[in-house]
Amino acid sequence: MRYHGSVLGYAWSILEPLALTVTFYILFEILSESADPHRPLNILLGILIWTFFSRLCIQGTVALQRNSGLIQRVYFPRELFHFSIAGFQLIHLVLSLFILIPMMVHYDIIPSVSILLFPASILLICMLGLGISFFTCILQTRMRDIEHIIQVGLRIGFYLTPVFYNLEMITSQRIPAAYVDAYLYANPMATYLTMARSGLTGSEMGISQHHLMVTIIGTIVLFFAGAIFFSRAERKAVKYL
Amino acid sequence: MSLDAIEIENLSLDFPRQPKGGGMLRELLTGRFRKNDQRARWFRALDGLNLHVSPGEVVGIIGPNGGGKSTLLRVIAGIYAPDEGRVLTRGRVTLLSGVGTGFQRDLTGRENIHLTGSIHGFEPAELRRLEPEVITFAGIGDFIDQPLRTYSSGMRARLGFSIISHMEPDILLLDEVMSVGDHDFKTRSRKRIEEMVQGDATVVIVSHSVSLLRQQCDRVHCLVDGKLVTDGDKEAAFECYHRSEEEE
Repeated sequence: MRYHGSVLGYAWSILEPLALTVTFYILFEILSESADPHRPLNILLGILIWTFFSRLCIQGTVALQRNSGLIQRVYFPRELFHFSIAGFQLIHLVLSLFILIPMMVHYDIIPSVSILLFPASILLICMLGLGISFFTCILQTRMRDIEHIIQVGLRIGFYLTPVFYNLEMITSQRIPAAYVDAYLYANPMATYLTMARSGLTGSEMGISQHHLMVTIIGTIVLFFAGAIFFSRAERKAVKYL
Repeated sequence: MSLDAIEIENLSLDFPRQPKGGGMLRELLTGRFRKNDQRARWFRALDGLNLHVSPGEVVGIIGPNGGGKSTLLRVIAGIYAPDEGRVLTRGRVTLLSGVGTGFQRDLTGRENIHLTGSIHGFEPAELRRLEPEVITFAGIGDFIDQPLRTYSSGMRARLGFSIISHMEPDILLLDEVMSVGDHDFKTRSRKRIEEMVQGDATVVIVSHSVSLLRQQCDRVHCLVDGKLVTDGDKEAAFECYHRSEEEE
């Protein structure tokens, strides 16, 4: 649907992240001294996953408002919007991930058992995005500002999350350990991106078990709290459409 | 006594008013301290409404604009949940109000039939069965396999009406959608509605057309300010409607 009527069609979903990856790669080659053997792979993976998360949040936030015409004429469970957005973006992501295979072959990466971390991280990111948008999409019906706040937040998040760099750059340098701790709690995406990378390349995560558990439990709680909140608030929220 | 197709008891529904002036922010800042202005912020669209409709019955609702007619249909269709009271329906409900909702511009007419149908809860097999009829009735020829963005607005409306009118609901809710397309299609769609009304379905029609309601309905109620003010007698309802119009 997204690329209906464009000449290159599906290729766009690869070309855009690829172009960004090349840009960041060149930037890092010039600016940074730290050596990451799999840098292009890590950057591309980060961008693909971040794009997935950010589309999920934005589209989830405006789901009720943009579909008001439909909502006012047919009844169906309104959670369907969120799950169809998540499903669509998930398929999109999986299709884009195929581009990683030649890169993995190039780097001689052979997936081990740790590859299981990868789908687990995607699932958690999905729950995180849905959990957030269950709340924001109800608020969006009353305050159209939410959409813009989310957009700005995601833009800032893109730079503050190890999307085009690795978590090590934050953890192993000048920053005191207490701040790093706080950072990891405040930004679950940092944990999940690192988890996905580690699953794919077998590299060390550098995140303690304790951190990991807290983040995962937090995400699961957020998801269910969001779902419950949504199913209760939704009946009132549709009146604001 | 057989079970009613629609049971509405003591139904009330409130709508939020748009906050004025400083709007949301001011409301957020000051709202906590002024709990007693609830009445100013909510507007009662339906007020303690009772209505029972037996299976197969055709009920008309007439009333002035803003009286709550469309809202009532939406509550019956399940789109708005009641704030007070109870609404119960038995069977598949289809609300016919405005056409062409949920259409995707880049899909063909045929694909849109399947999309709209599945939104309304139809199985793919059922839709394949209905498809030829829907296409014939819409009468848009080869355009059915063209993307919807190439349609004229009349063609879009005809396709929309054709899809919705072939849904075979147990309970049909009609919200003044009687006129789409050219003269020929108008006649056919009017006839189609009459067929649906005279079929087995339970029907609630909301309209301003006295002649349509007089001709099609078993009984007619007048809805004013969220209340049903007549007992179902047609002429009493029409008289109430004219009176409320003159007052405006």
